[in-house]
Amino acid sequence: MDDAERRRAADARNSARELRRAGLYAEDEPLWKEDFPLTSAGEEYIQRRQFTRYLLATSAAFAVGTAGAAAWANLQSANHGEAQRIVELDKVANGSEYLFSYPTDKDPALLIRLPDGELRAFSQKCTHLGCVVYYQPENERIFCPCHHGVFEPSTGDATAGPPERPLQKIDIEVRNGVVWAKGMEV
Amino acid sequence: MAPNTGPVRAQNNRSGGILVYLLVLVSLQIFMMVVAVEGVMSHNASLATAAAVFSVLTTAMAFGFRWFITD
Ligand code: FES
Repeated sequence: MDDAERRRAADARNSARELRRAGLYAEDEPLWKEDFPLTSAGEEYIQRRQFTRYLLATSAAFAVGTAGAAAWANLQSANHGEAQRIVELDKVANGSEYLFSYPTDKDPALLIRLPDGELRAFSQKCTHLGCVVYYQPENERIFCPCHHGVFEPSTGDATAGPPERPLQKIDIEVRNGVVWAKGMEV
Repeated sequence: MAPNTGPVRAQNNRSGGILVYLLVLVSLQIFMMVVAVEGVMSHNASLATAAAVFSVLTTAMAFGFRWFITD
C-alpha cells in the first residue's frame, strides 16, 4: 500500500465515523464497518481497472476449464479402437442384444441382432447427455430412459426425444462364426 | 451545516455498465463451459472445441476491455 492509498483508506474510515456521528448509521451498526469502509461514501476508491483484474482472472479460469474439456473430447474421439473379439454369433438370438465394451473397457457398447438376423453395433452412450441406451425389440427401437430418447436400431439415427445426432456406430465383421469389432465409424 | 460525509453520491459520474459487463461475461463463460461439457459427454469433439474457442475469445475481449478502461 503506498502513501496515497493509505491516505485514501484513512479518509474513507473517517467518513464512516462521521456518518456514524451524523446518525446515518444505525446505532447497532457493527464495529467492523468502521474498519472496512466500503460504504457508499467510500466505494469510489475501488477502481474499475482493479475490479476488472478479478473479472479477467475469473474469465481466464473458465477459458482454461473449457479448453481442457475440449482437449479431453478430442482425445476421446482420437481413439477409434482396434479389432476386438465380441462374441460367438450363435449366442445372440434374432431380436436380442449383447452388451460389451468398446473401444476401451470404460465405453459400453451394444451389439444388436435384428429380427431378420442382421447385426448392428453402437456405442451405448446416448448422444443427448450420455446416458446408457438399450434395445427394446418389442418396440423395434433403441431407447434412452433418461429423457425418453429413441433411436432406430438398424441405422442408429435419432427418431424421437431430445437426441439429435445418431448413436456412434461400431464397424463389425463375422469371422468363422465370431463377431468382431473393427473400429469406431468416424 | 451538514457534516462532511465524503463525496456526494449524486455527483459521482458512474454507470452500471461494468455490472452489465460482469453479468454478460460470467454468464457467457458459464454457458461455454456447459456446452464444452456436453461435447465431452456426447463424444462431440467439434462442439467442445467451438465452445473452447469462444471462451478464449471472450477472455481476450475481457483483456482488451481492461486495457481500454483507464480508471
Ligand atoms: S440422455 Fe438420452 S435422452 Fe437425454
